[in-house]
Amino acid sequence: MKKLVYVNKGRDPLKETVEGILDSRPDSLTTVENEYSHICMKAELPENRVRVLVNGGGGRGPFFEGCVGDGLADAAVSGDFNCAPNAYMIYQIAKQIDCGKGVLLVTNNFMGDYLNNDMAKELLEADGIPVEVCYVSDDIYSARGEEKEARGGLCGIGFILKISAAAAKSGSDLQEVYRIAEKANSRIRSLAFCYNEDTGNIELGNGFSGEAPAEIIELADADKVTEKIVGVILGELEIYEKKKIHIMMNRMLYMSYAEGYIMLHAAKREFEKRGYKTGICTAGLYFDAFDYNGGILSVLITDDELEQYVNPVNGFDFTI
Amino acid sequence: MANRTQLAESLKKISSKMTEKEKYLIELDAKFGDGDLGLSMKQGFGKVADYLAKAEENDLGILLRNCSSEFNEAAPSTLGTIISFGFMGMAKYLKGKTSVDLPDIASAMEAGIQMIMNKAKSKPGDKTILDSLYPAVQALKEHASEGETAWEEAYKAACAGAEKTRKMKGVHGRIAYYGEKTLGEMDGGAVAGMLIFEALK
Repeated sequence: MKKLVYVNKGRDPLKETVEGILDSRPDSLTTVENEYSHICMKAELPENRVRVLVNGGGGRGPFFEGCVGDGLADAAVSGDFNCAPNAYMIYQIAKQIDCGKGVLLVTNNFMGDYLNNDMAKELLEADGIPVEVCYVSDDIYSARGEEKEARGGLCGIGFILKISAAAAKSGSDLQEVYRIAEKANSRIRSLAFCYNEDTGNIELGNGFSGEAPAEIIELADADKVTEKIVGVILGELEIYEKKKIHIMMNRMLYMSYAEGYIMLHAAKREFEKRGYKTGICTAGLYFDAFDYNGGILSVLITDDELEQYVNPVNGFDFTI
Repeated sequence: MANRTQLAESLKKISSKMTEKEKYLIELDAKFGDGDLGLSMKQGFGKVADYLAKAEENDLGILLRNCSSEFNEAAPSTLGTIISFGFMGMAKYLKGKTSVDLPDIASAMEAGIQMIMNKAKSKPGDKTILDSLYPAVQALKEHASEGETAWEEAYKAACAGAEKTRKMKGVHGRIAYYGEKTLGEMDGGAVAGMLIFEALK
């Protein structure tokens, strides 16, 4: 992981990250102090509705500490850098924000996250709090050809947060919010791509923790690279009716603003060339998972029902 | 018979063992994992031992449920959470009891392992902590009527189980990415399971 330079010795950098996020949104966010996790939550929770709590490893861009706000999660709990938060903190915060309508926990489908959310669910149920968990599994190359239970999650979680928040806002009950979130989960695919400076190649499907790429292609024009990425993604989305495609182009730390929009533009054209209508297109830094110049292309294919819940949402420094 | 005093003593022994072997576990885990195994075992069991040393509760079920939460808070890693589920499974089995005999302890541990298998969707043979815990608890059950030698038998079974993981390929978590390369190496989790029984014998 990239070495952090601007930190304070002896202090917890993620705690200070959260403090900085709170400084930037003093009226709308608050936290709960504790020893092991990092928490951002809405200072004022909306009226009577299902709550959405996002959680996962910390320190990777706005996902997840910065994912709390209108149209997004009601609270975010993150563990240490790259570490799942503990189940008891998820449980405690979920309990705190619940208003009786229940809580949807949203996390990426990694083993540590899965286990801690599963345990939090068990604890919440023991207290009589309605709870469901959406394990986001959009990483197309994390387990090729396998069932989604084996796949990890990348940026698609942003779509899921926005959609479940909109569903909760519309007054749906927990089971309905969960159903819609899962439906979206089945229609989202993401693919990570990175430029390897040593080999000069583009690597596809690297794992966060240094797992080898699933495929390596030669460096070419942005359009050519995008054509390949879009082809892999559409290979799995062809089963759905050719409705509308929504595109999120995530830049990593070393990918420039310009390259992010160049790739977004290339992706939009490529989908349209293949006969798809495109909807909301965004580029930004959501999830800075890799120490390469690279990004993650995330795509959601909607139907009429999901289309109701996809209006653009502005986070403080990103749009989904 | 065992009550909360023996439980506290046992966890203190496990905690000391994990502290003693921290470096070894880190080295083992760094090969195919992210190297946090040693630290999370030390922190998790350390927290549990501290809690039990001060706890005034007598109900073993409540004590173990709190052990589960203490462990999980300090060590939310994959293996840490798996061990927390183990405590939770034992807690459910021992709810309402303040004193238990060896067959009860063995059955409680079996319930803990069952919970781990259900939650982690894993079984012995997958190159995980279950490869040492499962045979150890089976041995403990089998020899429970023989008294203290049962712990010795359990430890032997745990060692044999951990050793067998050298011939297995990892299927869960990061280790799965390394496939064939994991052959020949013992699984860090299985070694942690073995250390638990080394401390208890």
